[in-house]
Amino acid sequence: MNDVVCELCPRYCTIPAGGAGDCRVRVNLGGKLRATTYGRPSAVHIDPMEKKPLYHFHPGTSILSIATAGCNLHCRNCQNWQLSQRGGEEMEHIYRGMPDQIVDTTLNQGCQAIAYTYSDPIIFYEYVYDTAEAAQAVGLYNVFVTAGYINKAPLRKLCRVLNATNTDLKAFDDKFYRDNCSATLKPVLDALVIFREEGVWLEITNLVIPTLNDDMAMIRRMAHWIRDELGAGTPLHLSRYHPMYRMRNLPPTPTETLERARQEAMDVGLHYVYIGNLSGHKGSSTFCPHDGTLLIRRTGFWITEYHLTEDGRCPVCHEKIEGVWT
Amino acid sequence: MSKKDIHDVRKPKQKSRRHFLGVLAGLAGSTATLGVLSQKDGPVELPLHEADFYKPHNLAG
Ligand SMILES: [Zn+2]
Repeated sequence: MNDVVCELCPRYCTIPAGGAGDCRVRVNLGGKLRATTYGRPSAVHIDPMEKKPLYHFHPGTSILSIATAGCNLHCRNCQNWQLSQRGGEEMEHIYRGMPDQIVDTTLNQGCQAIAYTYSDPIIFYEYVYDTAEAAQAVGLYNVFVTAGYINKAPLRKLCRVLNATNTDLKAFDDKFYRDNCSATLKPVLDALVIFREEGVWLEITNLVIPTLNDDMAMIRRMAHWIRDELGAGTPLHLSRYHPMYRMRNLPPTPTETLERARQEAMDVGLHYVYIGNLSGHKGSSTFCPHDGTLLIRRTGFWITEYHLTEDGRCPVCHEKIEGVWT
Repeated sequence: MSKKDIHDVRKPKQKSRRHFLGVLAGLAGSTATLGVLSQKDGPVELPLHEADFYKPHNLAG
C-alpha cells in the first residue's frame, strides 16, 4: 500500500505505486510523488509578451516561454495537444533546463521575463516555483499562463513568485467545463480571485466557441462577475476559436459574434475588452476608457502605435490606465 | 500559441533543435549559452524531483 493523493489540483488523484496522476506527469514511485518533468522542458521559445496574451504588462518586450509535457485539463479543442495530452516519455525531444539554466538563458537572450505556458504549468508546479524564485532573485518577471484549475494553498504559495498571469475563463458555465474540459468552473473562479488578492497582474482569456459558449446572456454574466469580483480594469481577451484537435465540427467564430460579445462586456462596464486571434481588428487595440483616445495600436502580436505617457496615463485626459507599463 | 509552435514540438530531433537554436539566436542576436537547453551531449540523467502537495493515502476501516 504505497498509494498517494496529489493535492495540487482539484482532481485529488489517488495514485497507486507505479501510476501517474490524470496529468500523466506526476508519478508515484514507491510512495513518493515525483514531478517527472522537472528540469525537462519540451518547448522553449522566445515570444512577444502580446502572444501570452498580456496587453497591459511590459508591452512590446520578449519573454522566454517554457513548457513540459502533460496537462490537468483535457479540452476537446486543445491547441497544444501534442504537448499537453502526452506524458514526458512520449515526447520526441526533451531539453535539459534546470531552473538556474533557464534563468541564465533568459538573461543571455536579453529577455526580462519568463512565461510558464503552452501546456498548463500547474502540472510542472515545482519546476515553475523554483525557476520563478531564481528568476525573481535576479530581477526577472514571471508570467503564468494557465487555466487556473489548481487548489488554493499551492496557488497562494506560487503567487509569491509571480508577477502576472493570463488565466483562461473558458466559459461562465460549469457544464461547459465538465463537457469540454473534464474540469469544473468554481476552482477557476477561486483562482482568479486569489491572483487579484495576491497582487498578481491579471488578464483573462475567453475563447468564444460557436454554439457552446457564445450566448450573450452568459457573456454578460461573466462580465458582471469580472467587474464585481476582480475590477472593471481587468483586461478581457475574447478570442476567436478555430477548429482544432477533437473539436473540428464547428466553424471559426464569426467576427460579428466577437464584436457583439465585446460590446456586451463593455456595456457591463469592463474597461479593456479585446478581440483576439483576429489580426488587425480594431478590437485588439487599447483605448482610453474615459475619452476613447487610441492608446496602443496592435497588429497581430506587434505594437504599431504607442501613445501612453511614461507613467501609464492617457496623453489627452490623463486617465490612469491599469497595467504594469514600465 | 501558434501552429508553428506545435510543429516545433513535432519535428524530428535534429531539425527541431536547429530551428530552436535559430529562433533563439535570430531573435536575440546571440549564439552562445544554449547547450544547456539542448540534447547535443546526449541524455544526461537528472534525479527525479519530489513533488510538493501530496500525502500518503490510507484506506478507511
Ligand atoms: Zn483619455
